[in-house]
This record gives sequence, structure tokens and C-alpha cells, in this order.
Amino acid sequence: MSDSAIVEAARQFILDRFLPGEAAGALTPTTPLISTGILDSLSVLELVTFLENRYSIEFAAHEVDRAHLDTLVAIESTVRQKGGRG
Amino acid sequence: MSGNALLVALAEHARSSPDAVFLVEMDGRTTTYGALASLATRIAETLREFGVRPGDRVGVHLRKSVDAVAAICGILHAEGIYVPLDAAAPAARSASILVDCGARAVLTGGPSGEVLRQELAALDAAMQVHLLTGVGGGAGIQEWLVQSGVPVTGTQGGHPTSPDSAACILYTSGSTGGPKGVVIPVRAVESFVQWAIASFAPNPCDRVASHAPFHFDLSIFDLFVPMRAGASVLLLDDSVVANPRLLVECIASRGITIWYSTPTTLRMLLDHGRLEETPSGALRLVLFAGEVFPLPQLRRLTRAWPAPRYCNLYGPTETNVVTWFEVPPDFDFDREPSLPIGEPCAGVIVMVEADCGGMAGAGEVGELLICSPTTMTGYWNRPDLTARALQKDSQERLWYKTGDLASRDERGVLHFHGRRDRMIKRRGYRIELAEIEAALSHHPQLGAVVTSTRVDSRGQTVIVAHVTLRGAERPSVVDLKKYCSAHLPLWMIPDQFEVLHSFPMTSTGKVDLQSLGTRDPGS
Amino acid sequence: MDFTISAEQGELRRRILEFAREHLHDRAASPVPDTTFPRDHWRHCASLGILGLPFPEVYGGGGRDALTTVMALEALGQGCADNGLIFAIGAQMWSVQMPILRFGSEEQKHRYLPALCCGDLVGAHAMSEAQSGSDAFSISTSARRIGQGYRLNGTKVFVSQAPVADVFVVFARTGSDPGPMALSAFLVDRSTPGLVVGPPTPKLGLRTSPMASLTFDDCVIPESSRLNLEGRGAQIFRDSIEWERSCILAGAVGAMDRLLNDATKYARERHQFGRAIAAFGAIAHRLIDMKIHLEQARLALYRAAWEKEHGSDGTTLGAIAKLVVSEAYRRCAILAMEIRGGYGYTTDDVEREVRDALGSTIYSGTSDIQRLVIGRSLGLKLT
Repeated sequence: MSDSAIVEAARQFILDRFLPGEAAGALTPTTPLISTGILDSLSVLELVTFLENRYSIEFAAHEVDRAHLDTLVAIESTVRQKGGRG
Repeated sequence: MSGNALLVALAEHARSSPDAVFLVEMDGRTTTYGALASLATRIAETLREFGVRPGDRVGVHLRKSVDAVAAICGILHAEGIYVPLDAAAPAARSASILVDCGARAVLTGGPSGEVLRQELAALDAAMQVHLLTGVGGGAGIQEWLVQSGVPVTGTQGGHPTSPDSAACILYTSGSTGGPKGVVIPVRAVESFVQWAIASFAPNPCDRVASHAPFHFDLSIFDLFVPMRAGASVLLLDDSVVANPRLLVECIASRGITIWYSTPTTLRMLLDHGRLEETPSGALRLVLFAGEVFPLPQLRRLTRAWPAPRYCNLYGPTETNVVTWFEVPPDFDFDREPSLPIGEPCAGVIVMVEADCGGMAGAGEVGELLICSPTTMTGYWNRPDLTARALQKDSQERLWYKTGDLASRDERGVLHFHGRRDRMIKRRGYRIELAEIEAALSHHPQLGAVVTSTRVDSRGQTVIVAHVTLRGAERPSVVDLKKYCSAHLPLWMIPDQFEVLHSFPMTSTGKVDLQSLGTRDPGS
Repeated sequence: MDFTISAEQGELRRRILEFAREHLHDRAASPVPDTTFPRDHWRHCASLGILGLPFPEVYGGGGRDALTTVMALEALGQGCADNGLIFAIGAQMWSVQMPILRFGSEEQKHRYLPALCCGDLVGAHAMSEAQSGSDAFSISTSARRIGQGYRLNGTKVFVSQAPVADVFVVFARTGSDPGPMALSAFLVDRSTPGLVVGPPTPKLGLRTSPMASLTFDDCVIPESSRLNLEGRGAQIFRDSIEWERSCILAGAVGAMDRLLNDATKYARERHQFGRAIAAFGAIAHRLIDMKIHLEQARLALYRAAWEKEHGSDGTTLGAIAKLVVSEAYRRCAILAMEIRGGYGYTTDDVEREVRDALGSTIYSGTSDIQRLVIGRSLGLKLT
């Protein structure tokens, strides 16, 4: 099964921005991003800005956390919940 | 209360205005001066009962909470030395710190507490691990007090603590590969608090935001200055410290009047917190320290929120704040090259030492030496490092060699020019690159590791780890980051990794750091 | 880059335009210009939330951003021909309410802002003195410390709304240094003994925004009336004048739109030589030029308002907006007069519009001063 467009877009952004040189396969939909230090606090904010602009959605202040953003799967479900379309 | 000079104010406020609010947690729970003082007394009694003696080190491995503040006060009350630990850092690092300082006990809680307990058990460390069932609002520590079953005697604490006895040990990144403990005496905290009171006149109506974690030296202000003034403290815990929108909103909605953080945090509020669209409420004083604040962002901040005073505080953990610069309303952001670190605080002597020895002339760059009552006693258990850092002059005055480069202009104002050595500042935290290299060198697939830094287009410090491989197998960047997160605090994890066959060498046979640092591994 | 007007902004504009056309148009349109401050209209605007638009809700405001606010004020100017009223509203918002919001203590903000937003209080800004206009920081009004307060002495001129104001933002010298660092700002209530408001100053235009001088004769005020710290006066003034420059001409952009509409209608209806005068190139070009001025001014206004809130170059763009809009506004008014020919010169409505427009290149810093500000941002060493 291929990953959704949202997973793919977020993966690409994270690879380009925070993991230059990394193979796409190293970042699976369930790789923890925040708890492993792949994304630190500032990177998470950049990711949120990227998602907000790309999908015309808005994160509430309390949603910028591990529960909503720790894996590509979580990111996709958060974006979908907010009405963003892949 | 106890003889500890730092707690005199707590006892006084508890007596004169017991119902005044001292601590506020993010969920709105408050703790009064009266409640905190009695909690601290009981904690001290219990710790004594458990064998904590004056001068014993006690670890505080709790998230920012009433429980953590109560523990700190309780430890001081028992004439112990508190050792604050980063509850979010790898347990192995916290355990090694506790072992290094020979802690008698550690107060911990939550899931990370259980991991720490196992880590300490594996190390066979002879140390009491007090595991709180919950952390927050003081409930966890109350529960612990009840469980401990130590009878409440209400005995008053003993003899006055000597001002030279230690109040806390703050561990910072060390150049020899592991963290080193900076021993801060009661006298140093006391001098710093007195300076802050005289300079900023905090009062009982003030509300201080405590953003820095307790293992970071900025927290000395957050805890002890409001306590002296009878002000209240909003404890910003892990759930908000990295959430700029919540932080910006809470400045106005929680009536924060005094803010103290790193410039990185303030920049985060500007770039991601919609600060420019949000009112500053009652904010009257913004203090920042820990690194250089780039002028364009500082200009944006002072334009967006013009009402507060803005002050740049300078000083390494070893001396706390020793110089300061208040940004004047007419500061010329276009013409000034950078933000000065200003003038010495009252009671502090600073000297810029020229390379040839002797005092540097106006405008000449040299190492900054500090003679201040706020200086540390030394590094825990490291007389060698202490002897190198602290040196006596002919008049028996003790000077701390900062390793920072500075100059003094014609007006006597001090300017910062970077570091002498390989220590860097990132997000306000100081990092010895050697500590990152030491951690990565144990990775089974890596051969040698050398780190370098560069500043990206946004003015942020980027750490690059250049590595060679032991065998044919090449770990992915994700694997390397995961490995780092298990061995280093988050702020030390390299941003980029570059795999090389071998390192470029200089003619003298050393790794050519310069040539490593200028390459862009991303390309 | 996106120039789309949001649904919220569009709705607010439509609502305010309708309100202004329905409730505010009559009096100023009467042939003899009314010179009294229209307090009933003022209150009506306040009750609609206009004065509080960009201020936080906790202080009785509407919590709108700066760009939405200038769009709303533009609509007000478009619907209401009483340019003096619109000017007075802008003056209070940007030079009285804004410094209180940005520099005041929580107590001052709660005490004054809700009352100013809802129209219960009228506020005025007192900086200029007889010897100190564009050289603003050379003022000589003094505030000497006495016990728990200050004693004010000196005279302020050109204080818009002084005849009707309840509270004044007053700048005075608290130190002996000649420079800007010795200035401080105060909030002085009208009832304070020793504060004397002079008779209304007669002026060319904007007559419904009355102006007067203020004299402080051993006027004693408490320390709690000081806005922010001692010595912050110059910074407070600079900050509020930037808001003023960026936003105060929002109503003028609306007025230009109104002038263009009226002139187009007139040119289509008036016939000479058997044709509507709009068909003559000379008239058509004037209408076209008015349109160009209007759109350039609007762009400069929106850009400056946006920059003030989101960008870092509010100083320069504010000065550019002030200059571009005011110069365009003057030209538009004169073009509108010329299109009407003889009727434009007689004391009908367009004559008043011209007089109202003429002041715009003078208040909040003349065009020469704006050029100085812009030049400094280019690194030119101008004096």
C-alpha cells in the first residue's frame, strides 16, 4: 500500500529540511519524530508552519505537541481532522 | 525556619502574608507562601529522617512543578545541596550526574523516574531513590510525605548555614566528554538576588514567568528573586515551554510582569508565536541571557512590545550574571554592530586580559576575567578544572577565567566577541562539542567523530557531526539521531551528519576543523 | 502575496459604509459648514465599535488587526463626508489610545481604554509647542518632581479635540538634558486644577475637529499619571506617530473614493455643448487621474498598516503612506473642484472638501518631514 499524499509531503519536507542526505526509506510512517530528537522544538514549529500553509489549516496552541505530530501517521490524521486534503 | 539565608524571605512571607500566592501552575493551581513554607519544612524533616545531613547532595529529577520547588526548598531547609536534573534528558546522563556528585538521595517521579531508578540500580549506585507517585500541584510530594510516615515535629531548623556552603550544583556540558558540576554557594545566590532586587525592584504584585528549567542557571532568578520580593511565579512546564503560541497568549492572559529567558526563546515567540499580533499585557521587564541576541530580531521585539524594559544579562553559569546592558529607548539598531553586554553589576570587577597578559586597551579584544561575589566555589570533584578556572591574584582576589572574548569601548561598555575554545552556545545552552563527540564515539558502526558548527541563514547555530565508518555498514541519519537522543540531551543532538572516508588534515597532523566547518554536508 | 479581501473584512466594510451613509452624512453636507464637534455622531461611531477596532477585547476593543481596521476606517470616510469627525476618530485611536495600550500600566489601560473605545471619554494628544513643531523633541513644557507627583508648566498648541477632550496625553520634560531622553509622557484629566484649555483655534478645514491650546500653570498630577517610565516620552511619541502616519489617512482614502464617485456622477449628468462633460478628454483625464491617485493611495495605506503589525519597516512605509496618501488626497480634491468649474469654487460641498484635504500634508508631520524620515532609512545623513 502506498503512503498517502499528506504522509508523502510531510516526509519530503522533513527529509529536505532536517535530514539532508537521508534515504526516504529510513523515515517510515511510524518512526517517532519528536521523542527521537529527529525534530526538536524549533523544527516542530517549522513543520507546523509548513502544514498550515500547505493545507490552509490552523493549529491551536495546545495541538503543537507529541500527540499530534510524533509520527507521519499522526501528522496525517491531525491534518485530516482539520479538514486538510492530501 | 532553617538557617539557610536563601529561605529567610520564604519564612517571612509565610508569616506576614501566608495567603499570598507564591506558585502558579499552568492548570491554574496555586500554592501560597504559607503552604510552600510548611511543605518545605516537612520535606526537610523527612529528608533528615532519611539520613540527609548538611552538605549532602540531593537530586531533583522532577518536571517543573510545585513539587519540584517544594523539594528544592526542602533540601535547602535540611541544609542539603540540591542538584537539579533535566527530567527529559536520557536517564543514563542523569544517573551519571547523580553518581558523579555522590548524591545521598534523588526525588523523582513519573515514567522517567522509573527509568532513572532502573538505570541507577544497574549502576549499583548507593543512593535512595524517592519515587513520587505523581508530580504536579504539590500533590505528589504531599503523598510522598504521608507515605514516608515521618512524624510532623515542627522542629525549627538548626544553626545558620555558612554563606560559603553550597546551595546547589548545576551541571553543564564539559570539555572532557562528560558534564561537570558547578558548585554554587549560598553567598553567590544571595549576592545575585540582592543585585536583582536593587536593579529591578520586584514587588508582591509582580508575576514572574519561570521559563528556564531548574537545571539551567537562569532559574536561580526565577526561584529566588520573586521569593525575596513576595511576588508570584508562573511555572511554565514542558507542556508549554516549547509552545510559542501558548506562551505569547499566557503573557497577557496570566498577567506576567517579568520575563526571563534565552534570546532563542524570545525569537521563537517572534517567529512562531504571533507575538506581533498579541498584546503584551502587564509585562514590564524582559530579561534575556545565555547567548547573543541578534539585533534585527531584538528590534522587532522592542517595536512590537515597546512598553517593557529590555535588559541583556551576561555571565557564565560559574559566575551567574556579572554584567548587564539595558537597551535604551533610542538604541540605534542600524548603527550598532551588536548588542553590548554592558557594564559590571554592583560589586563585580571585570578585566579584559590582553593576549600578552596585562589589561587590554580600549577596543582591544581579550579574555574576560571576572571577580565577583556571585562566583562558584569550584567544579564538583574536579580540583584540576577548578584550579584552571579560578585563579588568585596578588591581593588574594579570586578571578574566574571565562574563556569568553570581550572588549571594552571608550565609554567603558563591554562587548562580547565569541569564545576562545570549542564551547558553543545553542538555544542558550552551552555545549562542549567534545561531549557530543564522546557520546557518538561509542556508536558501534562509527569510527571517528569530529563535530563542527556553522550559522545558518536564519542566524541559528547548526551542529554538524562528521563521522567515519568502522565497517561497511552505514547507519541512517534517523538511526544516528535516535542513538543521540538516548545518550545526549535534546539540545545537544547534531542537526546534520556527514559520512567521510577520512578527515581532512592540517599540515601539523590535526583534523582540519576549518575545512570541515565550511563545507555544506547537505549539498 | 495575496490581495484578497477576506469575507470578514468585506462584511465589516459593507456594514460601516451603510451605517455612515445612513447616519452620518447629513450635517456636513449642509451648505454652511458646521464648526461644532458632532458628539452624537462620535458616540454613534463608538457604539458601533469603530474607536475600539484594533484594541484587545479585554479593554473594550474589537480585537481586529491593523489592516482590517484601516479598511473599516476607509469605509467610514467613504460613507461620511464629515472629514473632521473621521480625522478626530483617527487622532484619538492612534495618538491617544495606542500609546496607552502599548505603554500604559494595566491600571491605566483598564481605566482609560474601555471609556475611550465606547465614547464616554474623548482623548487628545498634546505635543507641539509654539517654538517646537517638526522639531518635536525640543519642547519646553516641564514636569518637575514634587513629592509623590509632578508639577506641570508650559503651553501646548494645535491640540486637536482640546475644546471637547476629557483626558490628554501630554509630553513634558522631566530632566534638564536638552535631548529626547529627558522627555516623559503623562495622562492628564481635564478637571486637573492648573490645566487651562484655550479658546478654539480658527482654521481652514476640518472644522468639526476643534483645536485649541493647553496651558499648564503649576498643574499638579500624581506619579500614577505618568505613562511608562520617566524618560520614555520620546519613544512613546515616536511609536504613536508611526501608528498615526501609517493609519490616520485611512478616512482620506475613503474620501477620495467618494469624491471620485461624486465627480463621475456629476460629469455624466452635466451637459455642455450638447454632450455630457465626461465625454471631453480634459474632464475624463481628471477622473482617470483621480482613480490612479485613489488606487496608489489605497495600496500605500494597506501596505503600511500591514507592515506596522507584521513587518519590520513600519517607520519608512508609514512615512511613505502618509506622504503618498496626503499628496494624492490634495490633488484629488482639487481635481474634483476643477471638474465642477465655477460651482466647485463657490461655497458648496466641494469647496469644503478641498479645505479639509489641504491640511493632510501638514498634520502628523509635513511631507518634507516624511521625506526626511524616508531619506534616513536610506542611510542619507540629512538634517
